[in-house]
Amino acid sequence: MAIAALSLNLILGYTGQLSLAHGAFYGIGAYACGLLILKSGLSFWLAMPLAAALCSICGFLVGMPMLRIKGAYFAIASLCFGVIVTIVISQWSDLTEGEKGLIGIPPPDPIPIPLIDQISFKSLTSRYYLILFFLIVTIIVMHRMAQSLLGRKFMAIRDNEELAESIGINTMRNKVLSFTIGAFFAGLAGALYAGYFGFLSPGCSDYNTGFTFLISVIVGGAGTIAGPIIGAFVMPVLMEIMHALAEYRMLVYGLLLIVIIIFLPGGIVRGAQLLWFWATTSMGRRV
Amino acid sequence: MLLEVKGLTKSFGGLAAVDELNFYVNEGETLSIIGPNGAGKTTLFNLITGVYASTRGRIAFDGEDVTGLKPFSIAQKGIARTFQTTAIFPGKSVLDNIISGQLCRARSGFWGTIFRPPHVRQEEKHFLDRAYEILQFTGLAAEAHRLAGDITQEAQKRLSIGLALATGPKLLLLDEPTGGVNLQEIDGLVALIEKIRNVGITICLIEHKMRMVMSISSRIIVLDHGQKIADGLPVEVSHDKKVIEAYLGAKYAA
Repeated sequence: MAIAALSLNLILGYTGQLSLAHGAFYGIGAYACGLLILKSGLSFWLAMPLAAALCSICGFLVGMPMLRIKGAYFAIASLCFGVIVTIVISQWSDLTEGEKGLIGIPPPDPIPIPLIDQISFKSLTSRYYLILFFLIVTIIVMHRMAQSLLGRKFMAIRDNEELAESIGINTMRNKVLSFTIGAFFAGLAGALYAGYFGFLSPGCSDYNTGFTFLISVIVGGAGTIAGPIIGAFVMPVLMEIMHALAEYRMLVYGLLLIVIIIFLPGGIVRGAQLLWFWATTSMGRRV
Repeated sequence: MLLEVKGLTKSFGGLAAVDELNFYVNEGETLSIIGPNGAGKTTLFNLITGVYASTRGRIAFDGEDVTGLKPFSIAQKGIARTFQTTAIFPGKSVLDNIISGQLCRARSGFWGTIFRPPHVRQEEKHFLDRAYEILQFTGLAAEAHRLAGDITQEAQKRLSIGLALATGPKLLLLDEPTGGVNLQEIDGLVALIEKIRNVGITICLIEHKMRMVMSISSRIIVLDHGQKIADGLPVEVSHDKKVIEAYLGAKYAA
């Protein structure tokens, strides 16, 4: 989930495009991975990159027409794409087993290591470490992107698209690139989810999933690397804590979101930065 | 001839904002485009830079037809512009703004970004050095690490020019570079424009301040209702009957 949030952050936080289609890419990645393993008999290690690649192709093809639309209209179009994908997954029973879901996806094959033994992925813990590994890879890639000239192009587009275009940045091409990379990592996250749980239902691709990623990005802090990771870890914990509130849970949840968006528009990370800045300057004044 | 515009027309609905316009810009000159409000000056800039698609007509730059190209490719070809409303990235530092201006010359792609081979690092280093040069040139070196949104209006004007210079242009289009700054500050901006001209960049500017236009321009074009009504040396234009008519009304033209 943190991987998916990070990849959405690339599109939203750095390139400034509010995409609600991220759940769909996650779902496509998960289903592609699950189906390649169950129906084509591929190993997880082959199915996972193929699923992520398929997602980036989808991202590219969908992004080409969709990113021509701007602002809120783009958000609506991306939401439509997300809804269509969920419907296709739940209705195309011959391929996806529809509402029954995909059951019994085997865990990833063990990796043999010469001399010692092998890394097995039978237990949930071992699969957790597998995901952690890919999360670290994703963080490294995202960090490099954010620091790079490419990341600067994305941010220029976010800050002022017209100005970015006037200083010679191909905004369309870079938006599609950002969207494609984002879709790749969403697909990767989906594929890992399939390998982790071994069970998929069409619900994993719906707009709720997309919104969960979105909320993680916003609560954590869009346009930072730490933000989406923090968001992705905080939100599930928060939901668990609020289980005690039973049916009032969503009410409190909604209020909390509003409070965060009004008082901490930069999310937890920016809030912490502000607090730190305030603390250091007021300390400095006292000395 | 660096830029040549032939029969350029842009209609919004039935209104021709730019109407069958012909003009050229020679290499190394400073051409001012003047005219009353609504004469089509900014529209002309938007046509040259590809923000608007022209209804009719052709634009050639450096011997190449650039009609109908997208703004980013026009910028890559070597035409940079500033906007009437000072356009910068306010949330970024002054230095980062200038680096952004150089991005259109960046060669490193996605894989270079991930693996950072030496040539990519070198390119980043080169951009940084060049950014400091531009800051020095535009007189912003002291503000390098401040947020672009926090510096004075005049410094922001300089920054927007620096941002355009960072793209490495042959032709610089300035849309009211001294709009909204006070009298003393105008001299500083004029000095900067002259400095740019002296390093061999051709300048085309839109201005309303006549004293400045007369002193800085090597040639002036006057637009009215989208048409060119005068084209010549500053002295010629300032005595042109049609120009006085357009500015002050027919009864003063006698």
